[in-house]
Amino acid sequence: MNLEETSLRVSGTITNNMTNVTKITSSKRFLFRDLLELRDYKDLLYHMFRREVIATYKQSIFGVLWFIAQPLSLTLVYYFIFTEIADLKITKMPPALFYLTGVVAWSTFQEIYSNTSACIVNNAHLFSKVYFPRLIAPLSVVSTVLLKTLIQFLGILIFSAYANYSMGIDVFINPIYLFLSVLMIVLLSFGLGLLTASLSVVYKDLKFILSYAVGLLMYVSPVMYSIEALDKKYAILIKYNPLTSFIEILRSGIVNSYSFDQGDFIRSSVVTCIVFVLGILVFGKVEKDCVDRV
Amino acid sequence: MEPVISVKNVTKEYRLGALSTGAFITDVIDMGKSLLNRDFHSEKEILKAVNNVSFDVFDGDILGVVGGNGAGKSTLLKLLSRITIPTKGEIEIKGKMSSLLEVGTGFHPELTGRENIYLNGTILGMSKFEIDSKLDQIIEFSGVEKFLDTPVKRYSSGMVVRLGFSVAAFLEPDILVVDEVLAVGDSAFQEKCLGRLKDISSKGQVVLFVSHNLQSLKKLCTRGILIQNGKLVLDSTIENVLESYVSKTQVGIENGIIPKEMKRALASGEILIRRFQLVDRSINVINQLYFRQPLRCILDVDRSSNVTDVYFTALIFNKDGDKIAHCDKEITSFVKLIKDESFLFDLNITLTPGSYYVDVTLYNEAGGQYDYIQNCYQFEVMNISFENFSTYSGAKISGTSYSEMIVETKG
Repeated sequence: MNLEETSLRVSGTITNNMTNVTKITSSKRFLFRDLLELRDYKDLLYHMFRREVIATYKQSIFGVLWFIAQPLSLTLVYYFIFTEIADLKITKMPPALFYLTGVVAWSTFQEIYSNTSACIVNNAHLFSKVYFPRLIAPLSVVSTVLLKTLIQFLGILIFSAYANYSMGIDVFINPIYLFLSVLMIVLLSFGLGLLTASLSVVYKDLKFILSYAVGLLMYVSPVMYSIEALDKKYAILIKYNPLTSFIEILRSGIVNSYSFDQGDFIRSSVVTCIVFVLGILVFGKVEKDCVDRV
Repeated sequence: MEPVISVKNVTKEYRLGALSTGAFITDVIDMGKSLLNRDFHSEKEILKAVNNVSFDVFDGDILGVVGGNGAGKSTLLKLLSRITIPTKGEIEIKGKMSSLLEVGTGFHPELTGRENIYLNGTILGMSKFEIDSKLDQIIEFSGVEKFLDTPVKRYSSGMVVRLGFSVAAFLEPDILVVDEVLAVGDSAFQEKCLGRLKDISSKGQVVLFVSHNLQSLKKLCTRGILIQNGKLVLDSTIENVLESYVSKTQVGIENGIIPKEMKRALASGEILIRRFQLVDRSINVINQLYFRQPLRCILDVDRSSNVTDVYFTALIFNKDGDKIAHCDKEITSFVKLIKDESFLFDLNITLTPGSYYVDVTLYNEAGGQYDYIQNCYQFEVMNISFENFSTYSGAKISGTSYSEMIVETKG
């Protein structure tokens, strides 16, 4: 190739320089390079995210309103059952706000978990036809759920503003607490989801067991009841669930007088980060030849 | 010159049978067994889909990957395009690569044409900026301007394919891997796509092309590799490779007799072809026949279930791999049933002198394939003088249909 041609090609392809060498070997080792590669595919992430959102809400009557309708209806049901019928006491904040925050936090966790754990199987066709960093698939799922959560948070804010105004509740929005809560819920559910996805490629039945077990987590989380209503011996059990502290810090970020245990939060966060890193590492290993196994 | 793609001793193994991953419990039992007995997974259970393959591809090459069904071509492309990893060996790729193993990968029926262009483009590795700058060309190439803002689910299947290919056609990677995608779309569009592939390679980019269409391989490629049973058997010019591919009878097929143990990639199994041969009037097998001698064939089948709705088609190719005739029920006349599983019939066409080979397929009325044997039988049509011809008994000459029946070979 002569010089002229070379310069032409270089100017024609901005990112694709010839020094970019890809090595394909039998090694399944997860490399930091794999994470850096994600940057090149940020446009793909955006369009996968768009696809999920449009595909779900096109041709539906209420469209994005479903995001709000779902937690609101659950909150109503919980309020009716637990406060009106069972007469459970929730003292530190209005019961409706208590349920609403619990429901939003739990549904964020649950949806990220279940969608992430199905991401290899659901995208098996795509994976078998084209290469892209496989992590893009679960990431697009997370971003879709996060959009939903964001809109639901707006609902929570409106509701708490109303509570402040008409019920005189001491509402004080702490954005750092809200952010930490969402971040930790995402990391935990994403990490667990990636682990489940990786393992269920090999063992199909693990998916059912794990998703059932994770579904049970809701009953040991303060979604429908508050911790102080519990007997001491049970409260310990619930404290060990990392999700508990993340839901508590969320409530504390809305109602000023609602307190949470900082030690518990730090402990839960450490566990969550370990789960997250483990999830990324295991997924990075499995993704290399998951196509052969699905 | 430094190779752009360098494949070194690459092997890909698949474990046959139950992947031993049915359930956790059985896997634990298997693990226990294998601990007790080291050779638990014997050699037999391992299929080497790609077996110790090495080759280099250089700038400007258009490499045709040729081989029969199940030879390992697609596995090789999957390895090259990073869909899965090799069991052994190493592949080094310099520059950006895009692979096109399917048209319209990731298309979502609810999204509009325009949205799908972006989705598909980014899946294939383009950036949004790149797509923006090529959007007009892509739209023009696809010819679906009018429907760009209509969801793809309302498109005809041909439109979807055209849109998918158009996105792919404007990829500008250093290396492009294409697998059989040209088998779709009408012939005019196929020509357009071939032209586009040629353009790409003329810019010094590398194209790897897998196809069963020997004509497009011949038109497009400069180099070829022949893969058989996972092994690379020939690395040469495309002409040599195609010739070798056509002349080599497919794995195990000898003179139209298909061994029982032969793997069928495209068979449903209810009814399988055992033998396809040309015969003369006294049912002796022949490899050479005279010009205008009836193409009488014998077909033996194996029925494993009681299928009655079976149709037969023979595709006749000349030695260059051009398809010459498609003999389906319209021009096939049944002569007699020798046994329950052996048929005798005539193909009512006239071939000009030359060498030919036949692909045979059995299918049902709905078009579902029972069996397909590629390059099943080779034969030669010989020139004869007119005297010989007139003494050949049994040929019925009809003056009007003569010109219609004669089939010209190209070039």
